[in-house]
Amino acid sequence: MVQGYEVVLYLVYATLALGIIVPVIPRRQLKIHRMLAWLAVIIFFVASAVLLYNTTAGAVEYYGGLLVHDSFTAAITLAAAIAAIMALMAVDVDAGLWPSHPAYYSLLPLILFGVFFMAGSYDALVLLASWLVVSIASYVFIALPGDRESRGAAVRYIIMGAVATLFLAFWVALHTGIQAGLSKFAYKPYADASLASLAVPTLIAALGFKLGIVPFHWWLPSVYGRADGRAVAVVAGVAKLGFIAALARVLYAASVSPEVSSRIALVLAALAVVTMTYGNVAALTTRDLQLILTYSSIAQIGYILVAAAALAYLAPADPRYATLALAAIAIHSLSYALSKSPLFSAAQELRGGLRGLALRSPVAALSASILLMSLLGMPPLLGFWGKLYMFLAAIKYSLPLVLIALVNSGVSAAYYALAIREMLAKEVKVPTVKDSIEASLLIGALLTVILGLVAPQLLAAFTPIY
Amino acid sequence: MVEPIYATLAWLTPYIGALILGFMYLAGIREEKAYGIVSSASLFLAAVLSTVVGLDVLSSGRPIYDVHKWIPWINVDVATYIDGLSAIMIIVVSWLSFFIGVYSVEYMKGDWGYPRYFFVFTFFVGSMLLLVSADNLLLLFIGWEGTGLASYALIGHWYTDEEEYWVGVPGRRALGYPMYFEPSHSGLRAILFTRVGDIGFLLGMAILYALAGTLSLREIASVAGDWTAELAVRGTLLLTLILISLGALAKSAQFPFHEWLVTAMTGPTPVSALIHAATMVKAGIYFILRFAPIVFTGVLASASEAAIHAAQEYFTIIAGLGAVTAFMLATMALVSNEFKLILAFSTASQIGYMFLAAGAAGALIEEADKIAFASGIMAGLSHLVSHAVFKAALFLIAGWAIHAAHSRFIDYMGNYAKYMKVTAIAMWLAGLSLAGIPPLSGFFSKELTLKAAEEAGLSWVFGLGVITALLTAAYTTRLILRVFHLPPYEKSHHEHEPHEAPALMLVPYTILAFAALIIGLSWTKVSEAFSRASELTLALLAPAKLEIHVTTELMTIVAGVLASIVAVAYAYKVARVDFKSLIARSTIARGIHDFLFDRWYINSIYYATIVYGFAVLSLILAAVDTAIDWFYHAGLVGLAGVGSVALRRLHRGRPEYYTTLYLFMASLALLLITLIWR
Repeated sequence: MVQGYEVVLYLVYATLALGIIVPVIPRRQLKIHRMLAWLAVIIFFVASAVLLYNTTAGAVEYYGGLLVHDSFTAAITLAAAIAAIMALMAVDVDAGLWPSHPAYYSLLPLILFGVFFMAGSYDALVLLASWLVVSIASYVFIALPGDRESRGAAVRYIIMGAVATLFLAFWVALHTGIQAGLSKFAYKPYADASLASLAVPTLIAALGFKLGIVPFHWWLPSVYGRADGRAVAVVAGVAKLGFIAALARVLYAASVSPEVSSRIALVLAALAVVTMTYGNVAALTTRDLQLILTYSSIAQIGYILVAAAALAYLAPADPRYATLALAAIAIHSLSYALSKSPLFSAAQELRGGLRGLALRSPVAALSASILLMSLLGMPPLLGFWGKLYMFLAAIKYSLPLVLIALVNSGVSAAYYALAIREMLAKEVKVPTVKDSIEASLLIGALLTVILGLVAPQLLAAFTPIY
Repeated sequence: MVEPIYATLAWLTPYIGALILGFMYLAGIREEKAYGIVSSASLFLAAVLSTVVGLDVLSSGRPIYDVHKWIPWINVDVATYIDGLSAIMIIVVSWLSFFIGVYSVEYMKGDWGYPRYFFVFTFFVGSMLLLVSADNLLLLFIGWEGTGLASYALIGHWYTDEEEYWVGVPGRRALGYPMYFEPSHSGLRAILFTRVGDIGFLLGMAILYALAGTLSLREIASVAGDWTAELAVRGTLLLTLILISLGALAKSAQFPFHEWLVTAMTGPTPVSALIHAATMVKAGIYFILRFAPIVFTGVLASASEAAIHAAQEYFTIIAGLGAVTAFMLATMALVSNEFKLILAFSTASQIGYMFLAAGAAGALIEEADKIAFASGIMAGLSHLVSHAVFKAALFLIAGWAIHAAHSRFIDYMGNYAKYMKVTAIAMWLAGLSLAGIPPLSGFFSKELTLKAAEEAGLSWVFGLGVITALLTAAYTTRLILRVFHLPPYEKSHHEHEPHEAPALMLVPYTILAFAALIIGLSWTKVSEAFSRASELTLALLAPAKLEIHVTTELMTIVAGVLASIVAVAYAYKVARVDFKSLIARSTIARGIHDFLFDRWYINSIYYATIVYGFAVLSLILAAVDTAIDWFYHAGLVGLAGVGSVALRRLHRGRPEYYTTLYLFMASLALLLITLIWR
């Protein structure tokens, strides 16, 4: 009798297998490549849905506890799956024209496979391995479109990423050392403050690089802002979710005593303030959609850090609110992925500006507006609930932090609203988007609205391992 | 016994009259006569009702109380309460209003604001009657503000501000501030000056309500022992009493609030007669007469040493302010060159006597002599009544004199006794009553107020009162001689001869002037009525002694007053002293003259400190506001814009530079965290 959680594993390996088969098929067979990729992401979607269903009864362990999925990680995996579907929908046959073809259709399933392991990793070495899978796939992904900007961005990404990976490897060593040779999470507390004071910042420097936490974010604007939006959609909307899950999980595991957890929380809170403010201020004066999305990605990570600080602080003391913080991060990540994946794809088409989009493509303009408003946190869209729950949990930790986050949220209204107004403006030379991108935007908007309406029920169904 | 509802109807009638006038205007009726008739009829009806009610109270010895439910949750009703004090007030107010209303019918003939004038005038009478017959402070305050509103509207009646309606010599400045005032400006001054006092009044009311739990005067009086004791324990009794009295001081134009009354003379003369001489300015002293007995008996009932001490101080302050006002304004009247302005100074000065009497009466609180207290209070009331009568007459005469001269300056008037015999007689009667010559009413009432000050042992107050009496005689004589018996100082531009006033104007002021004589002649009867009224007055309840005994002091004062009159008459009529050239020649004389003429420079000081002080404050606040605006709309936005661009500039796409930054930041974070976590 095959258990449900075992099925998940088979399906994830099936995703990987499909991804590996793609390059074997001759270059001309674009249809087959696409079909296989679609099959892979749908299989992965089913896998993560089954996983989420299974975790409602409790955490699911694989490989003797090296890989543990709970509601939080399963939700994040599902979000990655949905974002991947939307990215694939948006890119349509375009990737077939790239010199790297059929790499896109092969690497997308590979990234998903890596995200599955990274989100669920319960061991430092597993995290390192999955990190490498996702990272290398991401570097290549950025280079796929083959144009000058993309290749340049990819080179930067690789050089910087290598440094960050070194930090992660250093952390793995420290972590294993602290736990007397055990690389699994949370067997021993970070009791030794001097080692913890080394391990935690090392990990944050590594993860902060991937997530775009200020001041480790330097690469991000030149990659997100300059590379092909359709490739960025995958890196920012899919791959990033795995890192978010890893951040939350490791920090939760490290926050075992009030003494350590309050220190971690303080570091995260400080980074949250800097990150939010940096992202929002930098985004204020640009009218380029892709740049807005780039800097708003930094700001959004800042909000998530607010919840992460609360999570670290509340983990030993108040598990109920810690759960709320986790659920909030999951919901926010989902809304983030729903918005970013199609918007980045669309941004590639809208390099010339947004002005007048509503005249030619009202559906695209409306959908994009909804997605931007969700990023802003407008009720009743999904983004509102993510922010609401994150800030609610954070109130238990620090009111000033929440107030700063709210002010930041208010500031962000400026550039989101301006972008929406741009779309409604009258313009002689009206931009258009392709049907595939319009469809991707529409699905993102619909999901954002529908999930927003049922968000409180999603929260009620949330059960993490802790 | 009359129906209690009459008491309510007495003040309601003018209100209804005003309402009808308003509808008439809206209906498009522009016939002057109609307005005059409706207004006069409603005033007459109110006068008759007031007389019926007032006389009933005085003869039956039972106060009338008429109550209609109004605001249950703060325990305030539309309640009219007529006791001895109110009975006298409503009779005096309503008849004066009627006479002056009739005078106005003629005086305002052809005025472009005729309907408006009568609407506001009638509304004023309703408010004034409500004020003096209200049972609770809220209703009283509504009447109070109604009179203030009407006063504002009537002072600014000629709001187009032609020069002939100004007060003061056009172009004259004191300390750099203009000393001439347009009607619209004067109206604003009046409402702003009284506003200062009214804020205090409101605060005081709130304190009383918080402590006594009621706004009804009768209930406040019945628990006065409790709240005075409580305030005395907290050490705030004196402050509270002064706060409540601020409204009264401002309304009655007592120092330091007297400035508004002076410039209120921009209104039509009947308005000056009714509102700014006979009635509204008396509202303040009415309130003191109403409130002082409550304080007096309350403090005695509390039997608290601190309360008695505070009350003594309060009453002394009231008496002192009254005396200072009486003296200060009398000196101003000496040199003024406008008919109405002289009368205005005189009004504030005479009301000073009333405050003096009420304060002096209360200052006897340590002796707990209720009869002496009642006598002092009733002395204030008797001077209120006699002043209302003769001052109304003087103002109405002023109206005609100004009309005849086509100028408000007395220098353009002269020898009127030749052309208008009856008016001259009326002027002498009213003027001598003001000067305090027996047997006119002013003599008795003024002597009573001085007697109260003397008995209270407030010698400096008494002294100021006596000096003021001499000054009063002097400026009155100067005024009468200048206008009626000396040739005009300046040549008038209008050559036709003056003549006697038309009947509708002549009759009212003649009646009033003779009333001053009749009241004086029948003082025994009148003082009996006042004595009875004092027994019927809320919280007073003691018979006042209002007889005048012939003493050395009395003889001295009368002799002094007569000497003052004779001296002025000699200087003007026989010696023919030319004061104008005297002032022009002598620096000292000019200095004194200017000091008095420019009202002790108090107006200029107010403008320099308060008006321009606030103007400067407003400029500063405007600058702060602009700065805040700039900060939000330009500063912050600009900063964000510059910051935004600067932050994006950091990303130039150079990997080696990024790597360095990344490593530097990571090391910095590591260092910081390691340092902090230790």
